[in-house]
Amino acid sequence: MTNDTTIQIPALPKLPVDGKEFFDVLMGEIEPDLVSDAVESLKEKYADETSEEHEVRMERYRNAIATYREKRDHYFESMADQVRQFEKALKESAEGRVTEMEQTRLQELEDMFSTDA
Amino acid sequence: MRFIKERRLLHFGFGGLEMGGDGSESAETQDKTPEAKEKENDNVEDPEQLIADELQKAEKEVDKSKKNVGKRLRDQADNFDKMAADAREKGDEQKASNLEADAALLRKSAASVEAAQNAGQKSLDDPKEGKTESDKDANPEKKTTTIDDAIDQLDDDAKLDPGKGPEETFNEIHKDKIAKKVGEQFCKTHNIPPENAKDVADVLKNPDAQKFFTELIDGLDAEDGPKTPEEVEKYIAEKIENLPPAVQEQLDKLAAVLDKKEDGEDGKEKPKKQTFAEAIKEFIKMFKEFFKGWRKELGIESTTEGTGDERADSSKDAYEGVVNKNKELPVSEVQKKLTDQKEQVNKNITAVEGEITGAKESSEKAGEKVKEAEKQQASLDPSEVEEWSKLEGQIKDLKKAQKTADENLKTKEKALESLQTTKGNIEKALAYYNDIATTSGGSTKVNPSLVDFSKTPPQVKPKPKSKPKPEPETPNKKAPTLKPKAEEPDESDEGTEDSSEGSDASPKTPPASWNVEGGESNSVNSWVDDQESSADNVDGMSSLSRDQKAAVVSNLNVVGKSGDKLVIKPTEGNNMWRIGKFGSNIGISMVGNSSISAMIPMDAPLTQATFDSYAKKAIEYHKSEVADEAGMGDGFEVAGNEPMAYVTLSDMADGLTGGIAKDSEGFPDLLAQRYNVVRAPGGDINASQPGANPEQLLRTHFAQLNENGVTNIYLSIYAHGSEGAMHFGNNKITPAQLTGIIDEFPDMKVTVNSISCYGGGLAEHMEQYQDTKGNAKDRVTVFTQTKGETVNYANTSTKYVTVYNASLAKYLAQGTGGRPGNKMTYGEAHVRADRDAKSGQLTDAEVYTSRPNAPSAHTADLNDMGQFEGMA
Repeated sequence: MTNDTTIQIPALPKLPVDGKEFFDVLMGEIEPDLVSDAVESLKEKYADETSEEHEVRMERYRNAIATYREKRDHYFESMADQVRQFEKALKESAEGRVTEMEQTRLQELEDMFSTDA
Repeated sequence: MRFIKERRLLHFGFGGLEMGGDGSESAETQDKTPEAKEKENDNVEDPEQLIADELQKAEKEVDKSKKNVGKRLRDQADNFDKMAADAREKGDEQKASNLEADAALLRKSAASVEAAQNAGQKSLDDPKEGKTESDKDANPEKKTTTIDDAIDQLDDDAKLDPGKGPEETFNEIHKDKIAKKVGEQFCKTHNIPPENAKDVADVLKNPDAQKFFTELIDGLDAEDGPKTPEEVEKYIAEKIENLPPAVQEQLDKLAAVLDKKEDGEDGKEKPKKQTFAEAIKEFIKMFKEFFKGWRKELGIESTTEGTGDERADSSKDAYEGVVNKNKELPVSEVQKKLTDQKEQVNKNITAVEGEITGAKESSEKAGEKVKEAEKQQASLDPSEVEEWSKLEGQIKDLKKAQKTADENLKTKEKALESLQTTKGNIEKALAYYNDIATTSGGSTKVNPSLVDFSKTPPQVKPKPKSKPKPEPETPNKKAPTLKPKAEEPDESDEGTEDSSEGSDASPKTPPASWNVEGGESNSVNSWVDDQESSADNVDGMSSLSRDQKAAVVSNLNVVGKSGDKLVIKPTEGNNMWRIGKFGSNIGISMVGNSSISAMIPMDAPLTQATFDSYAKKAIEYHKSEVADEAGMGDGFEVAGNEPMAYVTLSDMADGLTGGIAKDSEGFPDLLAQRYNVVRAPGGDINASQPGANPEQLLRTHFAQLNENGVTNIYLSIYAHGSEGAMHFGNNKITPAQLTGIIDEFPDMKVTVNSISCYGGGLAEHMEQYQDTKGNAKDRVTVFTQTKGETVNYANTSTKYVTVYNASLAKYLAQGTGGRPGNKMTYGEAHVRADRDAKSGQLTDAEVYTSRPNAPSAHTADLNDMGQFEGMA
């Protein structure tokens, strides 16, 4: 008897492709100025701003960074949970898989106990 | 069944130590909170730097999450590997193989997660530099060797290019980075100043040098490869001689680098010549390990096209390397090499079987896709020309894909076949050398190249002589008449080395190395104990299923119950029978005398007439056998003092028959406590190899025995049977072919003991068989364990064994080898084993003995209710 099945790997946590994508998606919703591709052109963009305007913008950035960090930390805490859930599901799947193999083997043994020669 | 249930209970602790307890994560893999507690850059006045820092942090977090997922997958894969090793140790090859396949899948998935993880790093770090140092520091996990170190490092360096698969990345990296890393590690290992690392790397980057080293690795790693430093030196020197000048130049460079080797810490420097050879060898091994280890890490190793072929070729080459080795070696060394090879081949077989499973799936899926597209096309309205034509193109492509998948499958199947052939060859060679080691000791010197392993059994090749010699006669072309002993060729030591001195014309005796010691060894006693235990712990019939009970109540004359069995009565007579299930068949046994029993085939209609007929026949068989017992007990023996060769013809590829053959290994030793047993090399014939011809294999072995003066053979057949043959996978031998071989050796007494279902057709054939060649009354004796119309069973709850064989061993052992009890004749032991088998598993053994120019006699002959005189 053969066992053609394989372990079912549970759905992987939804991981960002990379840090850049992660940062840009989050920051894009908070402060588009600070998206990684935009940051290089800020000097040019705000070349003519006054010192008051500059101060306001800096305050906006400070808030944006704080908001981003809060969201980031929350996201990775939640990701840690997801990884834990994944580990648990993986173990359950592995346990099920081994039990399945064991049962197949037991069935084989029981069949073989009285198998035609 | 108790055994099975206990096993079920004992087997797992799944959530035990290895599996990480209750499902909560293990300490080593616990996730830490993000690095929020670190002092972070808050300088919004420099947004470029601020964002660069944030990006780096984000990258680290994403990276860590992915590593966590990958690690969990790898941890699980490691657990599966451990369980696979455990399963393999316990002989559960199927489970081991499944677990290994799962482990590979998990690793592949981990590699895939991790490969994706690294795709993003390019945008942050200089791809040339990577982030190796910080990563190494951040992940100070097990670093056991310099190779591991460098692999870990490369693992991070390697996956810098987004959008590239592991194979592609590997190929790109190995050209340059591996060479660089190997160079660095090499210099470090050999105390060579680090600035020379580039020279080493340059050697590796040269394609010709790579080719040379790859070939050299194989040669040095071959089983018969050079071992001592001198041999290694010589081997390398020979290889270098024929190299292209460009490679020569590279090697000169390498030699120059090695010359710069500084003294080790102990201040001692090895002789230069030896150092060079050793260093080259280590260098090559390092190079190879890099490739292999890293490819495995990336999950490439098991999926590369042609892997099966490579495995098959390397296994074959390794085997040929050993059996063609032209050097005198202790037999124990050859045994070890072959045993290691066998283990490796088994691993390769498992791996290729896994590949075949995958290839089959691909092939089936491709086929399904073609069918699906064809179905779609067929359902189209004839007017939908455009759609039809589109599908036509798709079908063409799909068929092409299907063809490729089919071809891939065929290649892998061919590789598997080749591996199995190699395995068979290794087993053959191993059996040959095991025999020599057992009989002559492990230090006995042998020269493998002098033995022709293409023959079965292996034969010692004729020694080269100055004058031409006539071709040796092949014994199996025609029925041989025994040659006068004096005319034997002078290689009287055929099949063994240590009888070479005896080449005179005196009557032949088997070589001393063939003798089986029948001492009171613990192993024989232990084996006999196992057999007794198997014989004494037979469950007998189980109760019928609900439906079967209903059919019995409805169709048969049920008169009561005995335990969980229904009790029925035949139409005639007053005897009562218990009816139950045995395997998939129906069993009946007489109340009050369970040795009167019968098995009703599962496909027979369960009617009163069927039951009457089987019950009547069982009583008649019993009566006849009771009469026969007197004759059996009179002193039937399989041998006197003459040498009796013990031979097995088995289907080792089949789990059941192979298991029985293996678990019967102690039987010849037990026989040796009673008789003068000899075993010639190659006497365990595995007839299940693809393309093997059992008839030919047996004939050749008989001829070898005959040529060495053996005139008595005990043949155990461990194979499945049909009503017309004994089967060894796709190979078979018919009863007529078997007696045909026996007739070719008219002076040979042969006893056959077959476990095959339906007696493998032997019963019917032996009824008709007349011994027209020999003139001894019971020259040919055949023991079948079932009547011609029934199947045999094997008890597998403790050992793979038939009740008949276990009981036979139990009774043959009684009073022999210092054991208590009265010693029985072989005939008495058979009678008792037959009784045990009847009550224990409802099978009924029979015995046939030949008579010169007359049909053979047999027990339970319903036409001859007199005493069975054939065996007296």
